Amino acid sequence: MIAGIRKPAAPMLTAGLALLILIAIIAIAAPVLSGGRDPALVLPHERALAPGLAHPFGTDLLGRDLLARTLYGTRISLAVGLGVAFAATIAGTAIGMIAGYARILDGVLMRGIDGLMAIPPVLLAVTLMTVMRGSLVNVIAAIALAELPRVARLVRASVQAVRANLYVQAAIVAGARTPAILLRHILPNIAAVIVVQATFIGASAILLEAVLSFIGAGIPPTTPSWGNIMAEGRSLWQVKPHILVFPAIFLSLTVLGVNLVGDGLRNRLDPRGKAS
Amino acid sequence: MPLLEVSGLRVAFPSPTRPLVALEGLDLTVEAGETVALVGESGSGKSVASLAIMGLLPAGTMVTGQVRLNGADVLAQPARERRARRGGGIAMVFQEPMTSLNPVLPIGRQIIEALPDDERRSRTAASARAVELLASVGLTAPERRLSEYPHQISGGMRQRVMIAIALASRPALIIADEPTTALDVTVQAQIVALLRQIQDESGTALLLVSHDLALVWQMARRVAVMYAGRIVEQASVEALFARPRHPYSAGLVGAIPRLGGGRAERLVEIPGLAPGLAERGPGCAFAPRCRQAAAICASPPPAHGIACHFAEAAR
Amino acid sequence: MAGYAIRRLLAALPVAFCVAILVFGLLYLAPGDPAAIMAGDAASPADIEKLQATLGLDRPFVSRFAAWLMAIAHGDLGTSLFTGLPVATLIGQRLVPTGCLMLAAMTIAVCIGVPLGAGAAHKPGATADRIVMAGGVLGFSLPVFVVGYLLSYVFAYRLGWFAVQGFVSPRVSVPGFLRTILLPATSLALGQSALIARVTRAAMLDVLGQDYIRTARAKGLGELHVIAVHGLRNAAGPIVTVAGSSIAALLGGAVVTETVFSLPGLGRLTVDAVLRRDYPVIQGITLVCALIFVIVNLATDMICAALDPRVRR
Repeated sequence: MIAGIRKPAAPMLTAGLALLILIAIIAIAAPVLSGGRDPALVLPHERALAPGLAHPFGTDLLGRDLLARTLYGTRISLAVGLGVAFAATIAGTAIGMIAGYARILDGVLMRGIDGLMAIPPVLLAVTLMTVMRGSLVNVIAAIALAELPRVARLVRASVQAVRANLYVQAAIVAGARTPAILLRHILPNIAAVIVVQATFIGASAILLEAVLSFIGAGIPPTTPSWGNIMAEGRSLWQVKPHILVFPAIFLSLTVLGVNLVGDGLRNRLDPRGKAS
Repeated sequence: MPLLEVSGLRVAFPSPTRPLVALEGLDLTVEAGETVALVGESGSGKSVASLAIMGLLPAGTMVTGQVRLNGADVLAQPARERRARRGGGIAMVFQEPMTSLNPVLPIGRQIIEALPDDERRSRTAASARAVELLASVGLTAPERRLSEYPHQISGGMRQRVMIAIALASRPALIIADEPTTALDVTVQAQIVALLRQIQDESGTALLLVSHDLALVWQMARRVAVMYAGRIVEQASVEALFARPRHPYSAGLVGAIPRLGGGRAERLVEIPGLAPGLAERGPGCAFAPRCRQAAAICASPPPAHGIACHFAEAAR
Repeated sequence: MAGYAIRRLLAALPVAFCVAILVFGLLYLAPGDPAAIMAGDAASPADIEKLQATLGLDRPFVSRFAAWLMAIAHGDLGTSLFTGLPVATLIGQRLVPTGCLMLAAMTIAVCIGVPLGAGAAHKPGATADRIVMAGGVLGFSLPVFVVGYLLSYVFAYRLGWFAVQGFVSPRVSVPGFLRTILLPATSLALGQSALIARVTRAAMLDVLGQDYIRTARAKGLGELHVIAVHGLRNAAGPIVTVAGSSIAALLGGAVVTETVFSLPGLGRLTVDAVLRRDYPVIQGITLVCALIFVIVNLATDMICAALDPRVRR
């Protein structure tokens, strides 16, 4: 290494963080930013209006203000992104640790995880949502189930790799108990990899929720989510594209932000790209 | 006319601060059929020199000077002609047979690739020639080897395959970069014998790049000693080992342990470390480690002959 | 090679079995009464009970599972609650459009992704490389339906070069087929091509730094030959693997794409079934798609083994 060279600035990471902070601010300040408009208020005389002064983003097919609906939609997406990332990471890490450490259970658990991974995530979530009521919690649970195999496999591989290290062997020989070994020796080493993966899962979850709501298997339209706003814009999209356009932009920017952060984190924490 | 004539070869690598000079004006000749050794420690630039002659340095490296093969300047040619030259005039054998062969292609294919175009036209003729080459490097059951993969044969056998690939293009000169370093001692002896035999039979010249003085003694007729990017002394092998004239070569030769010496004899060493690329200045690079160093050593040493202000005039 | 094939086949069987258990068991995973939810809020208790009997929720898990497996072995994937038609028939009718969409999307994704990734790896850090990396993140982040609507608006609605909706089978008319399949396939492929480009770049960077590439250049081989034959052949393993597993994402994306472009495929069937909470149809489609994934994975393993002899040991 030539002395005097600092780690290069990461424009992608900064851009991503900036986007996310912006989205978070919008989510928190939605009532203020939408000028006090009610996202659920149906205005039968103002249906499908193009963007104008009274309704900066226009109105949807039921006459609801799209600015308010779109801004409130950030809350759903952020909640889904964080909730799924959290749930899938915890569940996946637990399974992965057990599979990686207890060789007896490894075979069975991995076949199960492989089976779960074989089911396309959209279909898995759709199947579950068909037999559950549409609600934020159920959506998060369904998507988390679809995403946890990725975490489980990653954690299992990492645990096996770390476990082969001499210092872990030394701890085992010294009589350390399994939970202590897992928590104190193995977890800190795989934490970076897990965090990077969790970020990508967040992005994936936001997209999945949008798809689910778009086809009617996600959040019911009383609570605005970008997916269900776009679902209502489906039928007339060529003549009234404004219903689709704004949620589409917000969705793309949010997912882009999360992916940029994930990429940036990976470059910093795990430059060889083991976490993909 | 010498087969290979290198004059003023200078190689520098770009870096954020200033270009790092790996080779400073190298002058070297190899006559047809001769074996010349390029000796030096890691970082002396000997591998860079061999790669520069072959034109294998990464894009963006600054290479100046001339490399003439049978009179034609190889470096000045456009890439396409140079490629043909690589194939037809100079071939290279690399240090690591484990990783220098493509693991997913059969051995036969890797040899046939190196054949000149006219020998590759017919499949059967090409395969026959490949078998011939494998046999000439001493591999048993050469027909079977054609369809085998590198991971199925041993390290010594892989190096023989590398030599066969080098011979495939009927080169006038083979550059062997540490050909035996990665091999067991017994296998080393076999490879040395093989290279000698090839030279006897086909009159190929050999540029042997190595840090192993014993190997150099066995194989070479002339030696060029490199230190920190410069050739500091060139002589016949006998002359170098009997009377080394540059302080560095004297240190190298002096450091060879001798059999039969007194048991309490301490091995002679050269104190200090060779300077890295970024640490070289205009003066003699060996001065910090040299017993004879004086104020004059801060100025560049003579560019021709022995690179030392104190060396005796050439006889 | 044959031995390896048999070993992989045997390893795939337990996974297929797990798939079956999981798909079947999803019904039981849901909290609350699935029959009540499916019947809807306006259903009477009698309707709910009838639904429960139809779904077999009143019988024990194991016997129901065994019966289900037996039925599948005979090609019976259940009956649609809404239309009364066999699910297998419904799926069979829709396989061609979705199959064509999958093949087209996969082809486009590979044909875009691999050359871009290989090109970027050739000169890492150069402008071309940065563009590919940045474009990759963008391509990966844009939702499938956003790309779909965008492409449809510009190239179908405004410019009229492609069909806005509908599907023409290749057996009927090849130009018609291309007019209806290219836009949906491209919108599906974009996201995956970004992923494939990234994996290709990483694999090629690794490979191009290896010693045997230097040997190949020393032999006097042309640069294109070196990259394509020596480079890609070694990098192919991870690339093929990623391309194979991208089928899961493609199948999921088909649900949306077929909706945007009105293709009469499995995706549209799913969406219609979702609207009516027609569980047997959804379950059948999920099972079929998951098994397709297992088969594709097996094929991927075979291709990797054919390309890299070290895998076969």
